[in-house]
Amino acid sequence: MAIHETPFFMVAVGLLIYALAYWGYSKIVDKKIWQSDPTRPTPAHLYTDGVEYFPVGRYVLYGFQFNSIAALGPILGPGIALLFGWVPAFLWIIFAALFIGWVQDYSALFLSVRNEGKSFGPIAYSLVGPQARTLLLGFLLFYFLLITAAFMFVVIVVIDIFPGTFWSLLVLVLTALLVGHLIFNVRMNVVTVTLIAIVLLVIGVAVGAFFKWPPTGALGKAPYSLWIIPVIILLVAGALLPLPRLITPMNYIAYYPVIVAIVALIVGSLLSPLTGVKIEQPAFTKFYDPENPAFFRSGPLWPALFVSIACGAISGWHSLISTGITSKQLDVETDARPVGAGAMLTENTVGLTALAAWVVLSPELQPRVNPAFFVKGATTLTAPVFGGESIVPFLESFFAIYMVFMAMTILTILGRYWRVVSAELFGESRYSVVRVFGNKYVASVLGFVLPTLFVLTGSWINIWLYFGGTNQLLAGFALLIVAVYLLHQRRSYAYSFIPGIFMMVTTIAALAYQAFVFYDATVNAKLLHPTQAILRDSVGIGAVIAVNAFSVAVGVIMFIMGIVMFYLLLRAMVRARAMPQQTQ
Amino acid sequence: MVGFLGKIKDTLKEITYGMALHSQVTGILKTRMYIEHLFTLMVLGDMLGFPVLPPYYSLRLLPYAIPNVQKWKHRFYRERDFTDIIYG
Repeated sequence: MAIHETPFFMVAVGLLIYALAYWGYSKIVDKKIWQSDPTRPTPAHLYTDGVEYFPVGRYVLYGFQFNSIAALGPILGPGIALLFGWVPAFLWIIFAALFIGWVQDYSALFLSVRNEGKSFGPIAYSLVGPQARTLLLGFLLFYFLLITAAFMFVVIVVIDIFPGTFWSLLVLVLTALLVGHLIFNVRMNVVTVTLIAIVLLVIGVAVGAFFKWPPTGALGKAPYSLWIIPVIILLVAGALLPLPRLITPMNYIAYYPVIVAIVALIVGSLLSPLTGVKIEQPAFTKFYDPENPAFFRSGPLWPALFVSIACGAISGWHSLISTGITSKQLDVETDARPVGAGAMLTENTVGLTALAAWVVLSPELQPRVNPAFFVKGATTLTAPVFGGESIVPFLESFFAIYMVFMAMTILTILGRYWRVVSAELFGESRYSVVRVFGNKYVASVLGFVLPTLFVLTGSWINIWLYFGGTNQLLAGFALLIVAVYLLHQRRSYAYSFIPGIFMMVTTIAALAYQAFVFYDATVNAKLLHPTQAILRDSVGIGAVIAVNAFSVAVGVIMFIMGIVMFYLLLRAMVRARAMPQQTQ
Repeated sequence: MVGFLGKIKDTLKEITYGMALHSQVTGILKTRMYIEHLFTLMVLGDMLGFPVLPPYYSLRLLPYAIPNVQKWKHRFYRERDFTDIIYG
């Protein structure tokens, strides 16, 4: 078996490119454009308050940044992108890693550091104008709605295929409650509590491996709608309970399986020439084929590929983290590169290893059809390293819970976000009917009602592409804001401007195409996905049309917002060019 | 060699802390911050037009609020918007 037929090849080439990006390109940008200065005080020193603003060492901040940006994006995106073959997916991941991904994370971080540690909203306000800030608010609400929907979808699909995962998840939740109690009430030593938690997590994975109840298919035709109920109950509990009771300990203990999974995938990929696991997926299929329903639903290679692999290539979420927390804790300016660029390149590595897990699947499995197939790919890749056939059930359970953990840690935070936003928006209304929506119980449940409508579309691929579109649009927005700032400073801005334009055009096109797909399904009363037959049979075709029409409306709103944002940013660029140079 | 290995160990320790615990610690500090805000607001509410406590009790509690006034003022005046809600 030739070495280029194994995942080793793509991971090794990718790591070389990442090294080039980190020790080459990012160093040049850091020195020549931002001119990082270790003696210049950062907001962490200027405004130290011991809570939000305080200096943190580069390694701690790197770990924090990576943990905050790691989610399902790099894991699932490559699966959808396989529709076009693994080579385009691989090329996009390494191209983005070299020229776009770290550029956004690092530059957003530096932008905030040079602007008193301001978050994204105030920066948008000062550089682009008040409309940009308002648009950003509306845009983020839709963005969070889509993340919630996409991640909920993945959780229930994985549970549907691997029912044991639900019981593993339940063990995680109970463990988190216990850990929260032991740390914050009993005040037990963190190391002891961590050891207890790890033992319980191993038991949880074993439960998932052997207690596969109810078996797949036993819930009839409506597994999505049935599994969504207990999942929403868990999420509502997360939104309602105080942070140290559930979310804080859950995010803490979920870290351990996540890091083990990432390391296992890297080891599995690098040892693939020895284990004999090879690439099974086709290198390239087609650019577009409107007669093929799969191609029609996803769209042409451009723009679909560039929004399907979200966080593994570039992600707008990262700019929120970079400007929201990290910039307030950066010790010295020269740490921005290891923290911003280093964490993103590590995330790119996660994307690359996830692609390695997808490509070893047999082409007959049509991996993009089901996110749970990632579990099968990851197991195929790693099983020969960790014990062969005998360990397969345990590995399947482990990778399934890895995916669910990645989704649930973000979903619980989003659930809480919806509750806080609803309380702010409706809680003080003069009308009692409106005030009901600000009630914490009602708001916590409502946060998951609209995403459920998306889940009922039955097509996780389309929802994922909507999510990817908004995510990448936000990234384009961040890149162009950086360009506006650099233009104000009369510094070279092309390294951020060109990727920004590419991302804006690509994502707006992707949103338009997806809105068209939902429009086509609405006007022709078509089922977008076979799963919609459940909705048609139980409620009627009118319900299917309504759900698809709702998705059209969301797509059109996002498209218009994207166009207006793009216009505002270009206008800001023109104005910045006409203004005299600003001092920092 | 020992120094080099020690450096690697410390680096791994810091990365692990950053990945696993830093956000939890920051979250807890923020929760404490909100409670401190509330306390300072109660004590100094009169100055801002929120007479929460009678002046007698405010004066009794003033020594406990004074050490936090500078930071409280900074946080109070800092521009915040919806992007800050995401992080709790």
